Amino acid sequence: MRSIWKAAAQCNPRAPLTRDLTVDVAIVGGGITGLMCAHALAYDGLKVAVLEARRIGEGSTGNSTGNLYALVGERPRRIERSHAETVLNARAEAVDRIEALVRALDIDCGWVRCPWVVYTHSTQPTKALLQAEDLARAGRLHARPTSVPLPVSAGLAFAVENQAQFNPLRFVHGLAASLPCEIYEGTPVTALDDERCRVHTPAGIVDARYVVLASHAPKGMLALHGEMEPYREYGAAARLAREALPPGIFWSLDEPYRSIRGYSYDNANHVVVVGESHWVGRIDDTRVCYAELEAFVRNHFGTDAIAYRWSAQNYRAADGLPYVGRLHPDSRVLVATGFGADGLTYGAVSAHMLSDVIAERPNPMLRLLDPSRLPHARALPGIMAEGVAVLKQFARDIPWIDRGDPTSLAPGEAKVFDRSGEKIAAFRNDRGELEMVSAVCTHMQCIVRWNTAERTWDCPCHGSRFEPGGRVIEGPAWHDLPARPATPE
Amino acid sequence: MLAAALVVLACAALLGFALLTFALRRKHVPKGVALLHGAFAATGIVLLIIDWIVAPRAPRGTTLLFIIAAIGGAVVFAKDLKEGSAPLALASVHGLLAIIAFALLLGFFLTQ
Repeated sequence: MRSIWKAAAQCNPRAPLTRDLTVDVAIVGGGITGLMCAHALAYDGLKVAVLEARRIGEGSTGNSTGNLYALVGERPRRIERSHAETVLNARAEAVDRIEALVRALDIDCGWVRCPWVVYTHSTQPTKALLQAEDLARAGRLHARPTSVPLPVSAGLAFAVENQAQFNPLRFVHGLAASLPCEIYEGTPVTALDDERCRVHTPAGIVDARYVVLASHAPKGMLALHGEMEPYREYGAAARLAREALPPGIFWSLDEPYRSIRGYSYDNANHVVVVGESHWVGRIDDTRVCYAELEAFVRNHFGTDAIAYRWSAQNYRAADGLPYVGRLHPDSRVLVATGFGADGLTYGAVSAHMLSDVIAERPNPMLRLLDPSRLPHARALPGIMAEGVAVLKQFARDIPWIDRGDPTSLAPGEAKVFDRSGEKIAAFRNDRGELEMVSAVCTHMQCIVRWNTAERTWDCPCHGSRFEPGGRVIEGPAWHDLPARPATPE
Repeated sequence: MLAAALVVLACAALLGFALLTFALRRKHVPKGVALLHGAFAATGIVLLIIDWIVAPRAPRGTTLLFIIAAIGGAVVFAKDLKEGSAPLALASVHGLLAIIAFALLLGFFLTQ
């Protein structure tokens, strides 16, 4: 499985870090947030090192929608209306900054300005549509009624002009190529010393004046994780046997939510559809999510030619606003997280904000998005629900049940089973070998669940994800799931 | 009230022993059992507090001992989550306090 952005973006690999390093700023994560932050800091004259666990942009950036917009789709109801203008202005400026980089660095990423269109199936204004309109109004964005030029059932719709689309992976590749700083791929950070501002990697230690955690979910056990909900969302791109879709970001606000756009690549026009979001690790069969998207494409666009499938993770903040700034009031560790599904634009917003923190420049957004802010009253039910949900997951951790025999697993099958009171996650790979690891998440000890579509172990508490062999893919866990022998010791 | 408290605290104690066996073997302490243990213990303490309020003669010192043990248990749980393993010394002190409190409560009940 890979996204259409990955298919359309090639980049030579970069070497991992193999020595100790001292820099002004160590940036953990080579997505849009980390690289735009690196760009701003490098041009402030600072020595910057970017540490990416896998490949540049391969995480959420390369699995996103490639849409950039001032309005937010994520929990518009929860955003205080008095903050709307500040937030939406910052987002609009961030889109402008990305465009300026695309033009200044001449990055071939299919950049296009286009309208952002939301619609409902009903001809009556729905609650979601009214909330989106209300937020646009509060943010002083001009929203005009429109029609939807797609073969979908659309009742009411409104559009905000001058938003943008691009291939996000080609953008970050182009940006990385221009950066006067060190970028290391294949360099996971295995520990962070907050006090000494030092990050540990498998083959080197990086000392810095500041550490920026731009890895989507900050690593470690932080109160922030109790205020965010981890979601996965799915994408599919299908070849169209007709002309390209008109430029535009099209969102249906009704359930099931869909984000639709076009993208032309490899001499073919594609429709890109994203949706089917769910809390990480809390549905039984994730293959259903792809099946639903594919059925939508087939029913509305008349094509079965699904060429690309992918998924990405996002973290939804309880009060609808991300957390950007110092981890603690005096900390030199900076975070940017909780973007929800609006991450590309918020990534660019955060990069600017974090470079302002380090350069000690004022930024009106810093107070608003302070990671240490007290949650607003309207966010409290969400935070409590998240706490209860985590407790429910803990309650699943009862020994001596889930008895079973891993040797009965067929290739491609996986199961959590109990062995002498210990939960073991077992997967039989396509070569017929059993891969067995502890089923206890190394973040906060919830029991992981199997993700059938992506063949990963996902933690239903805070969204850490692991390969079948236990290696951390993403999420707040620092450490891999420890291997367990196929037979009891 | 005291009889009910004794029953639920006895259940909590049984689960506590089970948890201790995991901790002593340096195995992952099952959180479902820990939550159940905590729920039983909390119910028992609430019953003791109600008894404290309504009964003319109540085991108040014992109730305080249970509350101190419960605070210790909460710290053990939090440390286990944060550090990945339960602190054995603190877990043992928590268990010992709870056993002493339980014995005192049983004695009080039987001599009533």
